[in-house]
Amino acid sequence: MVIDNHPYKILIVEDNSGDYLLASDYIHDIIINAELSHAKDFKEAQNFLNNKSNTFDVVLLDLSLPDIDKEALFVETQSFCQNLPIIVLTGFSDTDLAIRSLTMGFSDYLIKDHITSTVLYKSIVYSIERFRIFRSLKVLNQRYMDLFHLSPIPMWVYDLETLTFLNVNKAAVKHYGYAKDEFLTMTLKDIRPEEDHEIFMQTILNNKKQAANYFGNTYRHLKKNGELIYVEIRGNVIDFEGRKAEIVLATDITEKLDYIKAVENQNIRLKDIAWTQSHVVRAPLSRLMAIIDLVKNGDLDVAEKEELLGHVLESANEIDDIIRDISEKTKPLI
Amino acid sequence: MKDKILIVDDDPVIRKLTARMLKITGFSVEPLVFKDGSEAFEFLKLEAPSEIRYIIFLDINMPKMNGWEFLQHIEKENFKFDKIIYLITSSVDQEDHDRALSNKQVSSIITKPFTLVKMASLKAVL
Repeated sequence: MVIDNHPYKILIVEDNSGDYLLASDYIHDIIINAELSHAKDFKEAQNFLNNKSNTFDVVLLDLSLPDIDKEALFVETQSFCQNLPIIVLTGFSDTDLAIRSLTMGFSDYLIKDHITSTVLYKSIVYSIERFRIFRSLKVLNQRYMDLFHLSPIPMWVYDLETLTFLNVNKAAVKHYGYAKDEFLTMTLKDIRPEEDHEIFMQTILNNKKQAANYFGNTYRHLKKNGELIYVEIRGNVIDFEGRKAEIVLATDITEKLDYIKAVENQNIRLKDIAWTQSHVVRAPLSRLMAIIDLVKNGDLDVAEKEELLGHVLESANEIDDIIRDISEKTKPLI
Repeated sequence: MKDKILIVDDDPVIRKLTARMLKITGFSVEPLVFKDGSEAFEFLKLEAPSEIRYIIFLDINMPKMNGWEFLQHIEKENFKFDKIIYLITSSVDQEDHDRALSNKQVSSIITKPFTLVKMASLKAVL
């Protein structure tokens, strides 16, 4: 027979001292260093379990206790199942109840008449190990739920067939203005303007055809207050509680787009100003250059030079006006 | 053959400067000046004698009828007289230069400022 040296701490809740001794023997057959505690009724069991200095690895719980009926015992002990594995010990007559115990979070059930050292050992070790795995899964699950709910970017999960929202995070509720309960009665179409529905449904069909697992695109969405926003969507196909769903990250890029549009408009206006002004500036400038050429190389008399000098001043004033005009026109752009 | 020179420009100073440069570089005829394409076109329509060669200094940007429109009009009119057209522009856009080069009526395109050197080189090949 296999021997296990691990000092498992086990609480046995059993009013029948004969049954307790039997269980104790079975345990010690294999778990030779087992540390057993014995509660003879539910009250003692509660004292053991509520005392934080006791750290049990597993509890063996007899369903027939003198100070509590079976249904109440289930209800009262269910909360302890969150913290440690509890194995239910029962007679033949309670089989239905024992099976039900599994759905309520109890680790295992054993029919007393069928217990042997090996059966008990296997149940104890399996229960402890399974409980450990479940607990780490629960931690992971919680961590992923936190990532979803605490994300500052709106996120949701929707059913790929019906397009209904299956879950939304707090950022989505805050950003779109719908309460979570409202969201869960809506479909993806409800957050889109009517005129975009056709193209949206077409995109959904195309995505289905592609059978891709990752989607990304930009859409127009409607908030509850009617405000239209531009949203960058990134999504992944997932299995959500047995339904084919997509988890979506929706980043509002309205401000970014407005900003880009403003910069683009500004560029167009600047280009326009630059083009017009360079042409306008060239007229008096080329006139000035022609005058200088004539004065320098034209062998002119004093009166002619005097006249041209007058035109120099006119052209210079014209350029001055143009430059003032440029600075007026660019003012609203700065 | 007798030459007649036309200066078509909306800028009165440019008209005066061009006339002065013509004189300095040895053009003996007194140029005729027009403030837009429309005036010059009407003048040619009334005159149109076949024994005269017209040397036209044509600005592009003008009100009423610009240089391009003027070229279209005289092409349509199919004048029988000889003509040499210099297109004068402030524009440094390649687009304007390409357009001028592809127009068979334009002898050459000259970017302002119009200088004595440029004028003299035109005179030399006439």
